[in-house]
Amino acid sequence: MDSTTIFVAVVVFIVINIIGIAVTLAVVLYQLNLLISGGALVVPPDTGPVDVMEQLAWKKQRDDSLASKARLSSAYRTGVMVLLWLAFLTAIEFVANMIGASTVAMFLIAFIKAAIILQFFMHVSSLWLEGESH
Amino acid sequence: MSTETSSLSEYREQLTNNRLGLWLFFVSEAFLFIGLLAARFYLWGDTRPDLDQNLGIIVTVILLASSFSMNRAETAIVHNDRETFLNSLLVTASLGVVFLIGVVGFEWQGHIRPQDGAFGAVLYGMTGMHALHVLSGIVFILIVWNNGRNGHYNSERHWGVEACAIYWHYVDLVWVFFYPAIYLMGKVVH
Repeated sequence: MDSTTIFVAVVVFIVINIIGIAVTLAVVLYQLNLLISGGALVVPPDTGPVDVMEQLAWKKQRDDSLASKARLSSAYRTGVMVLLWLAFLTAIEFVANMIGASTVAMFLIAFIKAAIILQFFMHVSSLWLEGESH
Repeated sequence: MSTETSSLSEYREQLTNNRLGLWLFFVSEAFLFIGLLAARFYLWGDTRPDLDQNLGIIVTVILLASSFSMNRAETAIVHNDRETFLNSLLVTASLGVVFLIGVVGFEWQGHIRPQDGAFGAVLYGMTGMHALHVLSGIVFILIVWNNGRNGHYNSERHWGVEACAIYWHYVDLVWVFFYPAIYLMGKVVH
């Protein structure tokens, strides 16, 4: 095999790899966007009916829809943050055990994790608010 | 007042009673789990059996992740996002199954047997009782998923989803205390 063939093969290999990495990154970023924002970053096309009254109604509906998506996105983000905090505290618990932390310290971490779950996942503070939707 | 508004008002009043009932059930369950924890500290003291630490942390992270997906399912139905709701329920049930496989399929196949004195009795008692709750939670999730598939819930009326979610988080909450008590606290006895 001559040097030109090897050179072309290497260039093709690098180009394929770059395309592969770019596609993978794009898919990962798209999935992360869906996971964190629930797809709220996907803005609908900015067109509407020609009639003035219909245009106003359309704009109100669009604004309501965007506000609803923003609320959903915010709720999903809170869930992700809670998961990250719980994972962080579990890691601390694991490391604390390795360095010989006391039973009291372990229980303290467990109580903090329990408080986070009670507040953010079990909505204990809004439990008796009438008609409160979790 | 329209019939629909009146019906919704009655539903919300009923919701308050439902929540009270569910939380009273949790209080009664707490006595059971606190009793098991007390047995662990009384019988094991400042010691613990030599368990697989990697397995312990893996099943713990899986259960935490399942709580996240359950929360996602509940948030989704509150905002009428049905697809995410149904998918997240399935993810939660699957993670629950993986947790069960980790505990029953791997931890219970280790060197400690139920008849091995205090270590065996407490280990199998705690993990067994918790696994039973995980199993019933999975059944609960699958029932809610099936109802959801048939259009039973919406953003206004989703008590079944809320109850299922809170029950699942409760199971997770119990493990938050069981994990360090079983795997981390005390000196290892070989």
